[in-house]
Amino acid sequence: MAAEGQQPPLPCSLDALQDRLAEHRKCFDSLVELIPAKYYFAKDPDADLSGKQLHNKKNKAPKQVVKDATKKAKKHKLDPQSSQSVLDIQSDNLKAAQNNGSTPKKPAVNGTQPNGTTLEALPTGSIVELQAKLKNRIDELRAKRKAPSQEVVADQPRSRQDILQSRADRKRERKEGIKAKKEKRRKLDDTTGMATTSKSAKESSTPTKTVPTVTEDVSFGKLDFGVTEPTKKRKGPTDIAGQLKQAEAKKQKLEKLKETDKEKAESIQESATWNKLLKQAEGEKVKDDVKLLKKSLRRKEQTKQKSASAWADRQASSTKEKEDRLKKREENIKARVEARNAPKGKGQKKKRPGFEGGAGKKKPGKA
Amino acid sequence: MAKRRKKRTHVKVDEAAIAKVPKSFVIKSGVVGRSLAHLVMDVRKTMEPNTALNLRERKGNKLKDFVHVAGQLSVTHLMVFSKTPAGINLRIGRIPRGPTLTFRVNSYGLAADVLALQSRPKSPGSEFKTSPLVVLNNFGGDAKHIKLMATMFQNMFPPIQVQTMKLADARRVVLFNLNSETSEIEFRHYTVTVKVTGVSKSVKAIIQTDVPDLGRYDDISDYILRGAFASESDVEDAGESTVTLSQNYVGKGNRTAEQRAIRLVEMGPRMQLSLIKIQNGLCEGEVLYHSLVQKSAAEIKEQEQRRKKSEAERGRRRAEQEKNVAAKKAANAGEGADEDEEAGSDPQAEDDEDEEDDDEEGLDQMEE
Repeated sequence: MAAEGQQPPLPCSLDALQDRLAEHRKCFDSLVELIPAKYYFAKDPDADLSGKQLHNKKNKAPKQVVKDATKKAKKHKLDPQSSQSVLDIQSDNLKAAQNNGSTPKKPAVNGTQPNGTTLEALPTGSIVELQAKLKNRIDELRAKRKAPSQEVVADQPRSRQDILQSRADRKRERKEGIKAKKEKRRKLDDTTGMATTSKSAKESSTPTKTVPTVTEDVSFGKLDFGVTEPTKKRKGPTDIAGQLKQAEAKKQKLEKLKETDKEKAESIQESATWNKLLKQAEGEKVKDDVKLLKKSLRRKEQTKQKSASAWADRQASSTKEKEDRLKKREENIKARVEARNAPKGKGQKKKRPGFEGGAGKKKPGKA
Repeated sequence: MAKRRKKRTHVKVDEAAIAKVPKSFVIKSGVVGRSLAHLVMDVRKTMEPNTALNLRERKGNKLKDFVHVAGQLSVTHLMVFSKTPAGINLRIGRIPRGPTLTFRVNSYGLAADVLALQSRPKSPGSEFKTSPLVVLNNFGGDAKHIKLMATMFQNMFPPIQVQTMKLADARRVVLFNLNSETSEIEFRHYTVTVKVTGVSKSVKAIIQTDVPDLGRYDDISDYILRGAFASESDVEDAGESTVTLSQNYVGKGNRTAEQRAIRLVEMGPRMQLSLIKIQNGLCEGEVLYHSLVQKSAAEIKEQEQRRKKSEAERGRRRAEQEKNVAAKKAANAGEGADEDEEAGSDPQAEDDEDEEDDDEEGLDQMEE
């Protein structure tokens, strides 16, 4: 009996079909009822586009209206009669459809959707319009920030030639820009003494006096950055003889030029003297004068000679001293040897003080 | 263990660094009046600290004495004031062989007079311990003599050490302004002062000085709100002359990153100079630019010849004198002591004659 009772009736029997259907339906309904209505039904695309995705300021309702609407919505949410479950809404719609046969009932609150059973032909006009509007707005913004337009994608695989060409063009433009700037700066500097910018002086307290215009062309003292530049290649020889040669060569050249083209020679000479003066004013020593270079060369040679002769003297005297000492030593040795070897009876030996007595003589009083 | 004492404490002076800084002698030559002597002292103060403040010139000192000493002391510039019936001259030259610029001092004002003009003169403090900043105005342009002047003025003062200089070392400013219409150079000397901006007078008084007398006020707000909200000079300060201090500056409360207005207070002598000539050597040499006189080539040659002749003549005379003196000395030494006195006077008289000749040429006063 237990085995019979436990086994359910076979699933494919016809009389239990209705029951089974009802059972299944109850299952689904209970699940569907759990889903809140606003998520179950399809959203109205129009309603959404107007609010969140686009910053559409024109269609925004004035603040007060929005406030009232939100208040109303809140109240409606808490109203127990307004909350209809999915099943309720579905049954209502079904009844309305059967009664009217045409338009399905739309719930009065915003946010809930038109029914899902009879689909209305959505207002295609509005969506297409909005999409077109969106596209236009995007294009506008892209144009504003100069993003590459869609067509560039087509010629992305540019040839090597084109790339090189565009690079060369850009380089040329940059160079021209720098040149133009230089020209402008040079032109400004050329205005000698002319008032490039004139400002009225601050003496505005005496309005009866004419305000003197002060031209502003301010430069400041020298700046020492403490960083020695990588030493520039020294032009020309640094020793006196070389500089002398160079100065003389320059002089010769100038003389030659004077014979052929006098004016050019004069201008060269003038600019040379002025440059020399400027350098001297800054503190650099310009070694250009042939006479002075000759003098210093002569002085150098003389000191060299003097020191050479002093060295020779020193050497000679030191060798002489050595020889003298050696000679003296040998003499002394020789004298000593001679004195030792000389015959004894040569003469009375000189008595040393304190040793007047003879050798071996005994003193009186001693045993 | 006994307390360790430092052994090698002498700070070695960097010879190279000393040599790079330009130094100057400011002297007067010949008879100058009392005010010009004062001007010389004022200019010496301006050029401090790289000048000889207490330099004493004797009557017999000649230019070459200074030049000879300058080499050893690494002095680079020479400024000579002199007075002639035509006017007052200032010669600025670079030792030993550099160009000389001769200016005529059209007018000058002493430092004492400038201070007398001010209602609250600042007394000099430690401003003269560092060299001034130099500012040139309107010295642009391609004219060679203007360029040379600008270079000369810029190089008279030591350069600003960008890496190591402290903001508190910039205390004075020397301004050279070239007036393009009259082509006069105005020399001005200022002290840099920083003032608090943007606060009312009352608050400024509290910040800068000690607490003022608040006996008459009930509340500090009475004191703050009693008067002017901004002094007249504050209005001028706002704008270009306001800076943010990048380091601490001299004075109470002048700290880094504070806004201050820079004000220049005139301090030193004023001079109006006009350039007369530029010479190749130190107070001698070929005249490369003359603002008044233009000589033709023939005239220049003639002048040069004349000069050479007179130099040769002088050399000959000197040689002759020395020969005479030597001969006389030898003769006296042979004859004896009592005749030395008589003979001694003669060669001295001859020597004096010779020295007078030299006086003419020494500190060159041959002006147009």
